[in-house]
Amino acid sequence: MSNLRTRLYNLEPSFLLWVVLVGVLALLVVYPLFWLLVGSLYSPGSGEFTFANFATAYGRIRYIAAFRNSIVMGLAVTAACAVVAVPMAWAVSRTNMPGKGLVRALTLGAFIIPPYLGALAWILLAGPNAGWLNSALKRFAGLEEGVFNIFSFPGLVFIIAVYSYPYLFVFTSAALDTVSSEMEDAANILGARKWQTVRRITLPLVLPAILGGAIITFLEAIALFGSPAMIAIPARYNVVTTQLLEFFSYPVRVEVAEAYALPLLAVTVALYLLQQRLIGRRGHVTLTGKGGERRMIELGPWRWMALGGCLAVSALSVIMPLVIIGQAAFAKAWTRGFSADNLTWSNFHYILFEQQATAQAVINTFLYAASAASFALALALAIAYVVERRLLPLGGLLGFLCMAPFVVPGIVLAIGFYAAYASNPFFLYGTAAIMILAFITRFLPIAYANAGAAIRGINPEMEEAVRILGGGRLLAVRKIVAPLLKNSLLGAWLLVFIPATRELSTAIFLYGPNTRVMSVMLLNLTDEGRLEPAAAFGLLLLIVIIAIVGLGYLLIGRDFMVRRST
Amino acid sequence: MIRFSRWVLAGVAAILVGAPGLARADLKEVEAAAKREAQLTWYVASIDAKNAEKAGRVFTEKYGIKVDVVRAPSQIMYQRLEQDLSQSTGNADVFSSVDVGNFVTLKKNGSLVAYKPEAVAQIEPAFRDLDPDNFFHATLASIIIIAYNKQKVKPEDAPKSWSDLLDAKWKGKIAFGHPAYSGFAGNWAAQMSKLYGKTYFEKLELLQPQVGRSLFDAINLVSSGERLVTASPIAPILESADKGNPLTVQYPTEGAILVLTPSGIVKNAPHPNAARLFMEFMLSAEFNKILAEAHYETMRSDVKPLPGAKLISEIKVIRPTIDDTTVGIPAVAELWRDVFGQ
Repeated sequence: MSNLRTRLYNLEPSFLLWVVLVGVLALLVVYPLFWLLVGSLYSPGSGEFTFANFATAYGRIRYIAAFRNSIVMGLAVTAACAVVAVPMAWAVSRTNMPGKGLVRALTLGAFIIPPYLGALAWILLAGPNAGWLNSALKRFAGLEEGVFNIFSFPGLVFIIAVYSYPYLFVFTSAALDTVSSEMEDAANILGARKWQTVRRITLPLVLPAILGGAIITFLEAIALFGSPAMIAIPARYNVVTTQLLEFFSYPVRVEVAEAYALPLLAVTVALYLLQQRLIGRRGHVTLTGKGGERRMIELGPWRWMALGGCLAVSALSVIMPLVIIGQAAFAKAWTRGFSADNLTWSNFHYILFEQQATAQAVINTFLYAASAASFALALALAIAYVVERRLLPLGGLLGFLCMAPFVVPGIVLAIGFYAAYASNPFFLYGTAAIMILAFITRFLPIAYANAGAAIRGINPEMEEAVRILGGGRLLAVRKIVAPLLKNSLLGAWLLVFIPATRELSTAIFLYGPNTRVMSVMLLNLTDEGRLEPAAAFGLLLLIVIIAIVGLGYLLIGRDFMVRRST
Repeated sequence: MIRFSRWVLAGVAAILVGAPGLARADLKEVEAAAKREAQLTWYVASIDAKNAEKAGRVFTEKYGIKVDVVRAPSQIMYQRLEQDLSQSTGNADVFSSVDVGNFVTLKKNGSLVAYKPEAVAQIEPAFRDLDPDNFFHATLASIIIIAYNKQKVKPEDAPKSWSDLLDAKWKGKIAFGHPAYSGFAGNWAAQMSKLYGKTYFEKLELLQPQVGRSLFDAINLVSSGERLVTASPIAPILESADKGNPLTVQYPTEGAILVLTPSGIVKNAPHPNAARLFMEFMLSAEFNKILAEAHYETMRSDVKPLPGAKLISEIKVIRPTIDDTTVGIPAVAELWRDVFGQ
């Protein structure tokens, strides 16, 4: 007892700060998920314990079909991404294909285009009757009917895959970059041909990384909300996220949504654990400890074919969509094509000056994203510091809590936030606070992974020097850690800021009349069929994001976005 | 003459709740108080965002009161309002939507404030007294008709009746709003269900219509030629045609569906006086001029409709009953989801 008292007496003031951090984490991560679970088990009217919500959530064939559809869609997307991304990653990392920088840049492009904006572009490109591709086929190939239909299951898989393949690309190429040529040489010496070596040596070496990337792709695909809302609803292909939206329509059944979301959460947690095991095994096979030589494989004339293939993928994900969005944004009617009399500024005028709500949404978007990025990073940095310097017991638990939101689909997180904070006792419903808090939680894992990596890079000796000279822990952080981390922190800030500007799946359930953001407005405009202003709005969002990424390139170096942080 | 005899019956029960709240303050006082509030949030589903923002701007210019327009399809707007109410959050001041059934429920739950605008006396008698207790008033009327792309469909080939839409030649060519989201689509589907029963939707499903959440989405699909035919309120079709889009109107032989869309003041409105002033405004000549320019029916004899549209008195019209909307729309929305799987 007296021991405890002396210990309390000797505490640094900074200890209190760390206690606050634990409390903040509990509120941001534990509390919403706790409410998600509790809410699903109680009757909203009587407050009694019940399994009735689960019975309602899974009591209809349509609802169960949505779950199955999500899984099928996720598998199809993952397969499509693997077919595209693995060869691309191999070509970029291991061969003498020309134009690698271009391919990497375009893949980054596919990564930063918001998926719902891509979906909008592809509605214009592959709408079954008026879409550009179908019109062209009808005019030039003399076909009676269009061939492409974006409003279909293959259309949905396609539109998600073209914006998800960068995940697999980054995972695979990062792994390939660590494989030295020695083992391939061994195979060659033993008489294996080039393709045989690729198939039997290189690919198996990076297979855990590919599988890990594939699981992330799958998780991202089934958690997506925007593209399914735009494509799957007209295609009449119900998935989990659109079904959750239905539970949130009148009459709002939050408790049923909670019950419906829990199995999805279970799937994502299980897959994430599997992914971690797979990635963990990678180290045993590829890290030889010696700086193995890496030679590029000579492709001969095939290298131009490889480049063509990579550019074709980029054409589908970046180039064609950007051209069509650019055209529609400045068009009176997008179907009328490129002509001088079809050009107009009126779409931009409309969204910025005529419609008050859209102008407000632009301000909200950047305000919330900047606030969320700053808070998330401050929190992540403090916790990473505590964990890395082992200042508190249970540091591992703190780190785990920071990473936990990663496996929670945005839409599920939003339901948890709604249940926990919308009403009594917080009353945050429809406020900017609930949006910013949800964004902080959603992107905390990105902030934490980057902050942790940055702090690991600083030798504690320098801080210890401060402490020896009588400075407190906070002084050490302020004078030593913060200045040293400036660059990597800016990179981490951008990595939170950029996804926060385009975040849709949490925003859609939490926004209020005065807290709408650009992604929500874009979906509204598309809902109303006002595709030209929607394109203008999307272009505006994209230009800002590209400008910010460009700034990041200038300040931090060019691979800050595609670097893998493990 | 539109008869709402059921409303009178329902009204007797509501007098207990309604009578004390019924205020008819001096308009000058309302205006002065509204200007002090300086702001208004309008949840609107009955007209598109562009015209809603336009009406908001005219109101702001006249009274210096800023209008926040929040526009979404009817049921989404209603869901938000119910969500606000269940969280005891006062966001919306005025609610304008298409599904009368929603207003009946709101009134029953005590979520609306009774107010009788002075301007009621100035509108055509046919549009008055939608709710005899003054919890909500008709502020807009439109008929639902068949619309088609005249560039791609010849007039002689166009569907002449609602049942013509089931013709196999429209396979992959029709677009609709979703009855569970759009109030106009809900009214339309409820009437189709009443006229032809479930088989209408089963046959329709075979034609693979494209169903968006908002009805305006369907209109744009037809205007771009992505689809060719839709059921729509007449106003946005004619407005779009004015801009040079290849849209035209067919009055169906079974009858066009007349929809009166109500507005009411929300219980916990943060700007109650601005809300009253806005209710007055929605019955004014200025507001009706905006509506008339957008081809909605004018509710005042001193605002003339644009030339071209037929008057309601000249065509065959189906007038939905209160049961058709309060009971019919939720039922048909569920039926639709079962048939279409979405």
